[in-house]
Amino acid sequence: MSSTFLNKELPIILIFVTGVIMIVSYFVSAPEIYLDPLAGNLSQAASLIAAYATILGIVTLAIIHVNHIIKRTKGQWYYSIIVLALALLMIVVGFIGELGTHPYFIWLYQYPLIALDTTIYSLLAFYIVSAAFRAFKVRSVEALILVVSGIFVMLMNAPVGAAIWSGFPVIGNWVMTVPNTSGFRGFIIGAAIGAIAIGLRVLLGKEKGVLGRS
Amino acid sequence: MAISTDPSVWVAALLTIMAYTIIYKDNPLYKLAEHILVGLSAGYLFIQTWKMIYNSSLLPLFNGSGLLFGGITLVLGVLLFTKFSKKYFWLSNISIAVLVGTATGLTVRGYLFAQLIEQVKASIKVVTALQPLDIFNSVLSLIMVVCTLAYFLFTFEQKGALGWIAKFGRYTMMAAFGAAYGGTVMTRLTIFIQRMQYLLFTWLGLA
Amino acid sequence: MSTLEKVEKIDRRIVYLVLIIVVAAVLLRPIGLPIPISSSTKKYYDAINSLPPGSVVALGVDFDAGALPELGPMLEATLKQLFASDKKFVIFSLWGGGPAVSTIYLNKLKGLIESSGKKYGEDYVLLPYIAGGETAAAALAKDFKNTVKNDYYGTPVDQIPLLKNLNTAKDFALLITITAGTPGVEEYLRQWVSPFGIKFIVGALGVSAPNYMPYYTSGQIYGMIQGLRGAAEYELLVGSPSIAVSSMDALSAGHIVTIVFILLGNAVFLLRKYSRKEVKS
Repeated sequence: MSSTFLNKELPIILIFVTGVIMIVSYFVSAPEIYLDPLAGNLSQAASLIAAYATILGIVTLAIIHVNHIIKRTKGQWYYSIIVLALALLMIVVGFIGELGTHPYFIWLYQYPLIALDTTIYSLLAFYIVSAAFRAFKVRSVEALILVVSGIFVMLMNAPVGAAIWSGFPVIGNWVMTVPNTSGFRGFIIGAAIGAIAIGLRVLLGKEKGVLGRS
Repeated sequence: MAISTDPSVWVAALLTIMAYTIIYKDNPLYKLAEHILVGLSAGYLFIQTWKMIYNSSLLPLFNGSGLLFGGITLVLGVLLFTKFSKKYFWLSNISIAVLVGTATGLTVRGYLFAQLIEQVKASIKVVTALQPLDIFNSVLSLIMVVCTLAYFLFTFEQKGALGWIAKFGRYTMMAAFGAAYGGTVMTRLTIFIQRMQYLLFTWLGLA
Repeated sequence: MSTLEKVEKIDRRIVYLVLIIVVAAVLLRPIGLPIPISSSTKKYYDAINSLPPGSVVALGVDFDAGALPELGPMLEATLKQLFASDKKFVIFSLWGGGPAVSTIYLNKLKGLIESSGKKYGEDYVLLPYIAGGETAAAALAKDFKNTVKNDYYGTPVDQIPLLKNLNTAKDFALLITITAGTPGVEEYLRQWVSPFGIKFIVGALGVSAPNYMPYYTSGQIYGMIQGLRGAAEYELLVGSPSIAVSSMDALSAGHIVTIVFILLGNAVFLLRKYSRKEVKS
């Protein structure tokens, strides 16, 4: 097989064949040609490839930090030692006994990891409140609609809304079930049409960008 | 007031305070907290992902229960790592092709039924058996969906009747974004409140 | 700089301090506002209750640490309702953090599990993380047992009684996902609900719930817990008010602070705009 075939044509053929198997298996049950088991195995294989890709991502992250340490990147290399040391600690502890079940592994997740992850996510609360005061200016009809619907939904979500006036949750619920639903439904329908169109282009090999360098 | 004597709680509380120092200004303590999180997260995800690979791909290969499947998935997985080679990087496209083709086939059929057909059906459903307000809401909803879709019609110039329809669609989307903003505020405040509860109650024992 | 200008350009750290003080004050001195139950949360609760005895529920714990504050209470209350019921369930995850989160809550509810008499392997099972998102959801729906091979503790699936007859999504009576985003609701809709017609209920973040409303109003999602407010309602329905209920007053306070700042910011903006117009004229 020429390297051009392996490099260019084979991936496009694979995309087409695997995609068609998945689509056809949805509509047709053909046990005599092992279509159902093949479709099942393909889904599982694709999941495993995604898992290997995750490992690849973690290895790439490690290489980046090792490079920082080797090059003594100013203001970064000592942090990179921390990253690698803790990743290694988590992996070593994770391999004790059955993978990922040791109490120390769960401890590392439950205390340091959860504390840091939730705290860093919670910083957005400050930025939202600050932006509400400094940036959320009603300069147009669109902005006014956005602010008004946002306020009604907030007063629906918070019990204080119902305590102030029973109408707040009613209007908030209407905002959620009518304009909000309609707006996002329009997005969903549009996105579905777009996704189907792009998907067909990918299956027919028209979207070269889905593969890496060739 | 009974401050916690549990070292685990102290670890979590001190790391929380370290991360919160960014509120005042950017500083090395926050950067340290960030990098601790990156390290722990990477290690954790490695273990969970390796567990899946070992159980579903390698173990069947080693114990003979799934030689073909285990062998093929191992080869496809290892081919991904050729990305690091200047000469053989293109081999990884074979694995990516299997993943992309399978996922695309699944999403194309999934989007068609679950998201296109079902949502169009829901848009044109007019409630006839219930209150006049429900009928009004159904009709209004249908109009809003059509107007939202019309906003994204760039094939024709948006003027005249189409201009008004697209404008109403834009207003509908603004209402949807406002609702999303309201939900975002709840989510972010929730996470902050939970950290406050941890510091005030679990760590400092104030209640 | 005029007073209005000074107010408009106020140091953001003062805004942060106001938020911290108000929330801390309400946490230390709760008000006890009533929490009305919404219909979407009631439907989530009823969906589990209405299942025939012995039904097997698929519980997708599809979030990690960052979403724990909002989704953790939902998961805890769901587990409490399931352990108190005559249903069986299988926990799996499309997110890496799912198994650790599930383990934390199963450890937390050890006492409840023992008093319920439910046995691991016969009444409930914890499965490992499955990578791939859409492909993982499809693989589980089509060939459940062969996709995972072992449970989280390494026991082969053919040695687990509960998993014996679970081959496809059709073998489950109900699909629950408590999810922080993608993969989650839409992947399950495409690969479980649409092809297999399984009943589907969702525990969603407050930020995601508006996006899922089209699916809820179309009936594809039967019941939905929306954010921490929904979690508090659900805790009350399950009869076990816990962290979500105790957070509601602080949530109200935080929302009022946000709304006040929006209105104040716009008031200052409009006053400055009109005072500049007056100066010009």
